[in-house]
Amino acid sequence: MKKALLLSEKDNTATVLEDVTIGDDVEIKDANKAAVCMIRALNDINRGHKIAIKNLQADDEIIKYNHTIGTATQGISAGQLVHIHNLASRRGRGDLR
Amino acid sequence: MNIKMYRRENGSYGVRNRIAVIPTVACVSHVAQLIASAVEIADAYTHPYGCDQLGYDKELSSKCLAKMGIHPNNGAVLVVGLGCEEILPHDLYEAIKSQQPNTELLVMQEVGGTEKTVGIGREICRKFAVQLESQQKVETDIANLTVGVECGGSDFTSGIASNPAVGVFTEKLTALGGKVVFGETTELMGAEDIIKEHCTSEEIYDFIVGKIKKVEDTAIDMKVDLRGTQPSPGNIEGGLSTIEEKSLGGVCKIGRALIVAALEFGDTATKSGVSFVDTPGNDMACSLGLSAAGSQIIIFTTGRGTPMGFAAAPVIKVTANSKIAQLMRENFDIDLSDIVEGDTSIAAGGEAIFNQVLAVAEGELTAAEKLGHREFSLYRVSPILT
Repeated sequence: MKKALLLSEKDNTATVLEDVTIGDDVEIKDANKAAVCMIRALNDINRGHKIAIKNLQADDEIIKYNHTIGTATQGISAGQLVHIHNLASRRGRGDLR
Repeated sequence: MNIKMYRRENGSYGVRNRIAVIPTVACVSHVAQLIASAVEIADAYTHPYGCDQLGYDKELSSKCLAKMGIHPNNGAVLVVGLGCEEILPHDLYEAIKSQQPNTELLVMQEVGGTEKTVGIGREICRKFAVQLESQQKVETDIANLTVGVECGGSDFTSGIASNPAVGVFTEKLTALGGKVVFGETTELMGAEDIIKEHCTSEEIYDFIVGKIKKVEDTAIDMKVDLRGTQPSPGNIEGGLSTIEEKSLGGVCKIGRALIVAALEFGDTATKSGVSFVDTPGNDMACSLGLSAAGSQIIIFTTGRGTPMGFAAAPVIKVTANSKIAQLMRENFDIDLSDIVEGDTSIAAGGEAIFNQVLAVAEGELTAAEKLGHREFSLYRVSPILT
């Protein structure tokens, strides 16, 4: 079983602590190492990258560290990789003006 | 709590007793390098500027070079000028000499060619070295220690392990009356709410948020997407997706300590507690800003692995990425990967950092120092117009 770290209760993404292969069961643990839930990976996810632990819609805020780290650019299912292909920052975006 | 450091004439304390060879202008960089290379404890503060600089840009470069001269880790200074540059050698010499009596000046156009200037410069530095060798450290309160905290080449481990451990260190040093300085303005973007909780006054918060906004507004004015560099390709490969995510991990370096002052680049931190200084995220520019603020030691966390040190201050390298800790072993002082992979607590990691800072303050060489990493850079803020 693979492990992922959930940094705060409000977070909707967790950081996987080892390489995850599609179909792997990933145990989500909090900072005190207590198990929170189990998620089946829908993508291969490299160590240190994020797994969604909830189903998210486009424009939903992505939460890590109990704070927003950007918004979903498309629907994301629990178990999917959350990274630059489906998560975007709105800060410092001179290209949008 | 007391530690042993070198006392300077201006009342500051150094953890090293080195000679700074400071060129005013790029044209004498090679000369400065040749001078410093002959004396083990001398560092050449070479840079590509000093000429064709105007206004605030010139003032900032002059100020930072002077701050390197009076940096407490330097026991003697040789200013090397050319003679026709805008950063005036005599002015820089006077600015340093007023606080560091062990200062000499060589102006090439008054002294002679490369060989003659290098020969005289080496003689001066050798004399300094003999003099510094006999200087003894004195016991002083740890409140006289200023430590810069910085992250670079960040990955997912930075924000979940090494930066929080630095945060524990920050809480501990500031509780003992010491000073901690942090910068990297861009890398606070998205962490404003957290910064607010740490600020001891509204003025400090407004200053910091104003500086973050200035970076953001500049990106928007330039019609560039900050995502071109923030996060960097290496950060992204290391699991960081956005600047907000990077910032929320970076801000952990101050722990739960309070921010007691907010400074412009080049200003000195004087208050016990945490001071913010407005620096870019760029590692060299940030190291300059932290050193100019008086940091005698810099703690630098990196998940991707970066080898750089800094001329003025020993840089303690911390990683929590086990792969890079193995791959670049000689570049690290502290490996905190067991926080990520094992049972080491963040508090224990903070304790390890604190103990390493004490060891380095009392003379233990950092990995970067052992490998000869004594890089230097100025921070240029205007384009070359003329």
